[in-house]
Amino acid sequence: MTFDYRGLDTLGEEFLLFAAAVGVALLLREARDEELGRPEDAVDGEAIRATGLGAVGLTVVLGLYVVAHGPMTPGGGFQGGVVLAAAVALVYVAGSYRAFRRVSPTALLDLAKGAGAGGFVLVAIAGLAAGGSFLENVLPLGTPGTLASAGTIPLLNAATGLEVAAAFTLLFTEFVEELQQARLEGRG
Amino acid sequence: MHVLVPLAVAVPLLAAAAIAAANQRMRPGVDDGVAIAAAAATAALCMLLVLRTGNRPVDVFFGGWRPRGGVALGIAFSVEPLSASLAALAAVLTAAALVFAWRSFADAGSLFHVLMLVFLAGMVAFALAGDLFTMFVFFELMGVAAFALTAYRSDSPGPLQGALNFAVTNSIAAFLILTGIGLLYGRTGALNLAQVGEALAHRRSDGLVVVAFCLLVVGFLVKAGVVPFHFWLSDAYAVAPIPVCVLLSGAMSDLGIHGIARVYWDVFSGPLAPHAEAVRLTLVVLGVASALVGAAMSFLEAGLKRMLAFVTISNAGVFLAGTALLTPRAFAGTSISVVAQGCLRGAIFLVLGTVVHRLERGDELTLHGRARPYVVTGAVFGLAVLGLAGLPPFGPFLGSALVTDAARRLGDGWLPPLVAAAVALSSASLLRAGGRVFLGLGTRDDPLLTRAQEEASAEEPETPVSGRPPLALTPAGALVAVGLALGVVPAVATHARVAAARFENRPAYAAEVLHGRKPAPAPRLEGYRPPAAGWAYGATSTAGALALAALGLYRPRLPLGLRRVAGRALGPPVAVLRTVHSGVVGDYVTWLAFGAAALGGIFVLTLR
Amino acid sequence: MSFLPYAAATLILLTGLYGVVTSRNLVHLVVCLTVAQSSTYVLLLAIGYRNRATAPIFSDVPRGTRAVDPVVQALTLTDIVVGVAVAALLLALAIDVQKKTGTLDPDELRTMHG
Repeated sequence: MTFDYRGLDTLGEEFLLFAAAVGVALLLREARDEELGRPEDAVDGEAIRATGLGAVGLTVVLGLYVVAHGPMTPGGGFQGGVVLAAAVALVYVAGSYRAFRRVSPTALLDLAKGAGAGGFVLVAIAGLAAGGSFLENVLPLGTPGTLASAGTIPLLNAATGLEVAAAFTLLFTEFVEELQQARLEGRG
Repeated sequence: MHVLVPLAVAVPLLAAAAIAAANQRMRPGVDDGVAIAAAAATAALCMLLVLRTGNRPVDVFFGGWRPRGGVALGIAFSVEPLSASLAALAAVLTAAALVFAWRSFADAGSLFHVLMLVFLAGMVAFALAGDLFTMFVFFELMGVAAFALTAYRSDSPGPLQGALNFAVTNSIAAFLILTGIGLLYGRTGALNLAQVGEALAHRRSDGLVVVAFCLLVVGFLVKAGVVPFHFWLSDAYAVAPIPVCVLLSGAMSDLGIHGIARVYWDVFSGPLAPHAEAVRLTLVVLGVASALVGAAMSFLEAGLKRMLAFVTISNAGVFLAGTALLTPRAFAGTSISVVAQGCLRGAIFLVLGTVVHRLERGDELTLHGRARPYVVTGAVFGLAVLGLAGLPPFGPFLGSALVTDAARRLGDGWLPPLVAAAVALSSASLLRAGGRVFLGLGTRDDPLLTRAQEEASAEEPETPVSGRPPLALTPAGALVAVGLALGVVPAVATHARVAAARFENRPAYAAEVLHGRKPAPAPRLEGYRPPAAGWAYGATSTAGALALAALGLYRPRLPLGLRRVAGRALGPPVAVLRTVHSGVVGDYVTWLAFGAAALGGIFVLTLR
Repeated sequence: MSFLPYAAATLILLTGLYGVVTSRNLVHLVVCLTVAQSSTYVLLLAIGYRNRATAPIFSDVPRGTRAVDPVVQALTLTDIVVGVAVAALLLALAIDVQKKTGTLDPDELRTMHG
């Protein structure tokens, strides 16, 4: 329902998060010294790192599951996307800053965010192009209860999941970068 | 036609997503080009919609969910000339602003363009939406993009303060709107405007309907910047970069008034019909108060952007008063004024941007005489301001003539003089500024005026100085031409009146949206000739503006005795006004709460 | 009993607004704003709730089973996303303010007046 008859609202909502991530990037990126160096900010304690990094894999699977099963169970693009972003954040929280930056390069995040947002719009236009209306379903409906059912809804879910995950990770990244810079400057 | 409507929203969004995805990997100038092309394309689409929906409004249901049995589950966009013209205005202003910003804002990657395009998409979707929740979502989308853009050039505390006040007050406004929507959904089980209106129409209005109306109206009034919800506006416009101000001033405030009109006519006109007089009186008084306060504050200001912010507030008050008269003639006049003045104010901001960019100061007194070499720029500015002042026979004049006509027919003869006074005063401040800056007239200093904040941070350029001055004159000139021409083209008034009559006809709208019934063919109206009173008021407000501007320019040279008397009479109110605009966000929220409570109280007492 | 959620929503809204008005720290202000927004969640969910109804998914229950209103849940979800977006931006603004002026007190940011 979020993706079908109130699909336009979901499009707006998705772009809202997109705009917020872009806005935060706009505000914080330019004011920051890009040459941050590679601060050594890692978690002590082998036990935490082991548990945390193990949990990352599980969280990613959970996130993907939630995104894919959107049409059938509570969940969907937004919730799944947040879980995926949390998985990436776990790398920082339970691991080290360097590892975190390695899995979340800014260029990739920007690409993912734009692709997710644009993807949603393109699927919607596909409905228009196929002679129906914007956001109308153009794929076969399949059997209810299976993964490949509900027409375009899984595609929209996937696009949203991608965009939300990227946007949230971007937000988190920006704030972490600020934290690192503050530490570097001794503001703690 | 059904294809074009969603494209008007999809095109800017797709362009924004594409630019964001390729961020920092594009050659400089490509992002400008894509953004301007997208904005121009949207403008063309919207203008096409204006022209083609005159006879037959278009209702688009997304996802193919057409209504069945009078129940609309899907989201609808109701496109008719008045809302499409607002969308077109937003798109044209965005294109103009982006041309101005060409290469001036290259240092943040292309994020600026992304946000401008998202802002545009939000405005277009809000203007065209026919569903309560969709209006809310895109209201917030507009807001989020606007907050970020306002804080854009954040190298001094100034922009942050303005953006903060903007964000907090507009977010609270959004919650209030959402609460109102929730209440309506609870009562009627529907979110589609027509369906909610149908469901409410056949019952008396009761507490819940009144509360929902109040919440929705307050939320939109905050966006429109009507007193006492306007404080954030002056702070935000004063600090936002010029391209953003063009959009905020030219289109965003007007969308707030449009929201009120839509919601009133499509949802509440049924149950509130017996109390229309009360609604009219309350909102008209609020509008007039806003117009006068805004005008007064603009006259007391030397900072050019802040002055324009107050002029916008004053104009928004006039629009509210016109819309609140609740007749097709008045609404048609207001709609014409909105578009014409939006274009003119946008042009003025662009001109200001050029001046400030070249001279690196944004204060009327500091710039005294320094823009004398810029003759063409000054001429464009002068034309735009005279148009705003209601010079016959141009766009704003036609709009106010229609409103004056409507007011007099309703017996509200007290309205036009007050409106004319407000218009005269607000235009006078701009004329005074123009006189000082472009012609070197007037005294070099005036202690009465509030100076622009930049004096504190001396060498702060207003826009990042790039090698190439921004291309402002062509878009500004084009906007002025459109704004003035709207009054001269005869078809405009007729079409506006027909569209306004349709807009205000709720049962026909509901039948058309829910049951697909074709609307009755448009009645043939003969060309509109403004009555003598309209001409009189137009001439008076222009003359008044010129006179007050002269007064403002030479005020310190008036005889001391005269100034003392005026000071004693006007001093206390001016001091109160100044203190109230404190800049502290807590104060603004308090005013919001107080205003909401007061308005709610009035509505509850008068609308049962 | 039935007006309890609405009373709760009003109370939360007023508490949040009071916090915003009297706040002396920008981060506190953002949190109060979020609290005020959560009153809308309570209100919306209260509107959609039905006694002894189940989740609105029909894959394993027969059609026609009493379910709570899904539209309201979608509205609330959107509302939450909106809240997050605004909070993120405001917090970024707060960070910027801290960097530029060294203070987080809204009263001290009095660069705008009259």
